[in-house]
Amino acid sequence: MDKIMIIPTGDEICEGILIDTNSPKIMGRLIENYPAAFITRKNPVRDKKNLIISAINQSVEENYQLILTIGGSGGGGKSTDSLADDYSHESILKLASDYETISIYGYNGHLWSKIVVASIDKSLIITLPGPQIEALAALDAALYSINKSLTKKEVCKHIVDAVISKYPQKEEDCETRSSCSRK
Amino acid sequence: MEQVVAYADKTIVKIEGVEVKGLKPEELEKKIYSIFKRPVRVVGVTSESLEMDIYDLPPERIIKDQQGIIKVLSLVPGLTATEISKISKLEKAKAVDINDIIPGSKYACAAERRI
Repeated sequence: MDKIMIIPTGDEICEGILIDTNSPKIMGRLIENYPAAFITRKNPVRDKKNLIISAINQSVEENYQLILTIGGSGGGGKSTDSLADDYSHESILKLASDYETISIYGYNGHLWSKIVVASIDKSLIITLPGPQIEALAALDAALYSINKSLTKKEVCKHIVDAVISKYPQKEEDCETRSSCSRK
Repeated sequence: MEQVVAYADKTIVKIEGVEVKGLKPEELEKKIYSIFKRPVRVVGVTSESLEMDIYDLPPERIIKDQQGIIKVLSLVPGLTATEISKISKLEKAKAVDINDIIPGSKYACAAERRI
């Protein structure tokens, strides 16, 4: 892995309401795994689909082999005014035709996080959730899977397992609904 | 498209009347964790409100410690509690049947993650 792009997203990050503490931690883990890589943190992107698409497109054109988006991975405020919309997953799905995705729902039926692992040209694109404990768990799982040369589907599953493992769970309450993939 | 339902018994807490600038969310999560010893995720932030999920804790317990929560906010860098700080939303996430979750890539739910 020679070139890696980190794309933080979120209006609250752009406005300095929240500090983007995820990017430096993610950068650190990437350096540990790929000490010779060229790693870039893009300026944060607002919660607008066209801006996220543009940022990803630009990174693909600049031949980044791994592109990590941070945040905007849940259901957001599609019907709740108090939360902003989440567009990272939608943006990647709009761009890519070769992808795997798994949606994690809370038991209340709310979309908790939608993990996407996609390929465009020579770039592998992965969504990382915003909460730091989830972002780092997802990243570790992704790097492990990539280093093992696993398939996108396996990478996606590893990430989902890692994210879910960070929450209190009861085995009997975890269910898998259905599965299919698309290429 | 694969969908997974994860167990997550949580209470959604929204606090209004605060001033937020330069907050590191994990610092707030750590402070709230120190009160309840339960996982906390900051899921929505504006310059004057916070929304958090607190896992495995009933709303009654949060009401009981409401003043403690407000006090703790001022100990977190980037966050200032004001005289009008209050919990404006407090509800336990209700369970739904897995079959009630609408399948399909277009579906996104109402009120989960912002960040």
